[in-house]
Amino acid sequence: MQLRIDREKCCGCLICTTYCSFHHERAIWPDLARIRIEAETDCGPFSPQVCRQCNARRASDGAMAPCAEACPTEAIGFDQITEAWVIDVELCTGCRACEEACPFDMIVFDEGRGLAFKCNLCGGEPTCAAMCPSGAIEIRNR
Amino acid sequence: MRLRHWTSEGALTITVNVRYHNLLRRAAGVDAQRLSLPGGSSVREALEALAADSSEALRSLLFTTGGKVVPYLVVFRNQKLVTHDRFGIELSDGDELKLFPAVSGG
Amino acid sequence: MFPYKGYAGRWLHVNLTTGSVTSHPYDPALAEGYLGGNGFGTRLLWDHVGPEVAPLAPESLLIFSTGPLCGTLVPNPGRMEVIGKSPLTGIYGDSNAGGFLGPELKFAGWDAVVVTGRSDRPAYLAIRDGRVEIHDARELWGLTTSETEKAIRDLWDDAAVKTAVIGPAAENGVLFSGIQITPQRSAARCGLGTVMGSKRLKALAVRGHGAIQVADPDRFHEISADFHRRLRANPIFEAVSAHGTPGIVSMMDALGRFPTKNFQMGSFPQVDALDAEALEARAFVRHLACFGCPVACDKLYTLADGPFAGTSLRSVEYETLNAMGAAVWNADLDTVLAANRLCDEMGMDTISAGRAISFAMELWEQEIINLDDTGGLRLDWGDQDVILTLLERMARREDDFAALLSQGVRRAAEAIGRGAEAYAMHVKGMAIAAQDGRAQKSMGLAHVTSNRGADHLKAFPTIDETGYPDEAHRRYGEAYLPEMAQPLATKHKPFLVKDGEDFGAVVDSVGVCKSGGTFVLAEIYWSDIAAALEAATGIPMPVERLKWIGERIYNLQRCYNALHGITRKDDRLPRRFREEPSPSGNARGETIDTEAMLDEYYALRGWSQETGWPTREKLQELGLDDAIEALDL
Repeated sequence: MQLRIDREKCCGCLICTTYCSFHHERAIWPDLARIRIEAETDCGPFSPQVCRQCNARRASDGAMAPCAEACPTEAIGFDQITEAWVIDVELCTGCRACEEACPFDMIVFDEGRGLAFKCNLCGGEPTCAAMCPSGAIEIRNR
Repeated sequence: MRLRHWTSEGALTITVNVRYHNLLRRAAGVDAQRLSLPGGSSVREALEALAADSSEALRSLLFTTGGKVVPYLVVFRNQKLVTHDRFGIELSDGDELKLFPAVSGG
Repeated sequence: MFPYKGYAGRWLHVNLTTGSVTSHPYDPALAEGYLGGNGFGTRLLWDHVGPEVAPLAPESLLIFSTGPLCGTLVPNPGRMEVIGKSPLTGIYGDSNAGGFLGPELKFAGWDAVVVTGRSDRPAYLAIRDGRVEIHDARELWGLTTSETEKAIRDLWDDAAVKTAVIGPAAENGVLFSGIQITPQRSAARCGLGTVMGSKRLKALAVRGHGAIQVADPDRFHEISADFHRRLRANPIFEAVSAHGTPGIVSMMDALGRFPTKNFQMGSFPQVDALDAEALEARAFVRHLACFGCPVACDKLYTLADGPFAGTSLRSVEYETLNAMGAAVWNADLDTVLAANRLCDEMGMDTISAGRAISFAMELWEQEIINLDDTGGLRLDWGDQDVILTLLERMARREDDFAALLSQGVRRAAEAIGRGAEAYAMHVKGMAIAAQDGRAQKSMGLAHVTSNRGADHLKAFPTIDETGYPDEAHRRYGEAYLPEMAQPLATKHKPFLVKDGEDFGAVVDSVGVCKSGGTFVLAEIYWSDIAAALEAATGIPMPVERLKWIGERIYNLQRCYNALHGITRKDDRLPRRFREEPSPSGNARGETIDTEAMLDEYYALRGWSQETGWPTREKLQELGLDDAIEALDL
């Protein structure tokens, strides 16, 4: 699956951000959200930025996302079911190579724990899409 | 002098002006419309006539699937609020009805 | 360690005289007994800002306070309170705003910022998580609010910094100055911007990177997600979301509840020029939301052409469409938007500023003032140039007349005399907003009993604006119908007002929005907030306890006002409402006398019929023993 963004519908409420962070961290912590809202001004236009799960369509042929490619401990693997690149927190050494490699700035690094995080599509039921009140984030099958 | 219109059966017809606001206006597609009704029609009958001749979108803002007027519909007749328990009151020729969804605020 | 979650557990104390900045882990009993927001503010004012402290003295406090639900997962959790003794009214003052600053303060690790003293030169407060500094703001002083916001963002090289800023109006001593809260939301009423200006505090700037923890994450998430579901399924959710508060203009007009020509009337013949559809067609750009809110009632508006081409602003509210529109007999929407923008930039309350103009225009109509008084301005009803000129002059206090108006209608009327008092539409010094007690009896009572002076938001009776019989039934039961849902009925309204005030005190203490699920959508009520609070904080919160806290906060505010000389005689509407039947809409022929409702209200509240003060018994019941002593009861 993938997340489809309709920018025009985003009104900057940040519900996706708060619920994303809560889903993963069990706290409201926008800085650790795996989604972010970019805004040209306080009054928009707004642009939700989500992980594109790079090369997901060709993953079965051995293609890799730049983050997965860069990871020296092979901590980032592909989940066939959700079609997301997922960081195995047990294997993450906090080297930040994935963050460096990501062309879209979608890796979230927590200095407190020395770990990298990214969108894993919430294991198949993306919270951001479920909670978005305006339909700016929807789920689509590839 | 007010013109009175007689149908072939000899019953009086009245004309009522209906103004829509907020979501009702969007659903109706117009600001206002004139409604021709049989003489002696009530507010409820006016709403039924509107619903019969309208889109599903507008109909659902007027009546529930069970056939009751939606509880949050606000109706004014000639600038007086008509509560739902008084929807049986008889309309007169030239009456103006204003319809709103019950939005409050400050 | 602060024992409760949801809270940051610390207050920031800033003394602008000494330059000291201290982190203060406050007594958890304050969270248990006052919750946050205006609860904290009320207690602080009671403890530290007695009658001997003038509102604009250095010793006066200015309090920015969030609440335990602010910044969390419940819908509309973006609200924060600013509290202080009002220089406009001389009594309890508070002001509430949405946007994003409240949550940012929570992420920075602060529940409240308590400011005292006066800086010897313009300053601004820089809060970066736990690092707090007072910075020189001489370069910012004199800037408009948007110029100030931009300057701070440039200074910090960070577009995500959230601010609270004052404009030139506060610097110049306009008594109804407000504080603009990112993103141009307004903590506007009661002149708390003036308090901020008197301290030479130009701005707060905040950046927070931390987390808000909750006591029971699973339960809190379940409750919050359920609130979201219920809100979005509410039958009028879509209607509120579509237009925001402008969506009620035409209906309030039909009710006779859209003050026109300084309350001479309750309907405006050209209301179609100012309603939601007109505004949308003229200037709508996009829907906007405050932090965490699914309603997104805010909108961005831009004028593409006309004399004010390029004017771009958000938060054009029902109140401003009235204050700068019908109340001053102006049907030009562009002028309303220009006036709104001007007030935002100068940092003035659109309600009080607009009412100052409608007051002056009626004095002109009545020939109580002339060209000598007005400094050459002809205050003809609906004159668009006059409206904008007066606003600018009041903000700058450039001439005597404008300077006088900038002190609010009560003081202006006292100074002018010659019968001007009859046209000053205020209660306790605060101008009445866009409601008319003749059209909605509960609101008339709400205006006289509000603790910050005439205000609709303290009690905020929405159930009977046009009648929500279903919700009235759900909240109050069969015994209260049909009158509870009827705008012109007085029966049961004292209870509606009391309940609204107590619930409102809680809502304003925890940090959620009244235009969201609690009052306008009337979906979230006592037991919902109690459950959310308990899950968020870990504080046991049976519904009866929450009601006790709401009542307690409201009573302490009343005691504070009592200490400042407020008695029953101040709980009155201007004569116009009692003696001039409304000519308008559903209110045609109606007057309102609040005395009988007030008797019942005092009885329900357990207050003295004679003085309107809480009784000894009531204060004991509410654990406010020090108030018993202070009031000598």
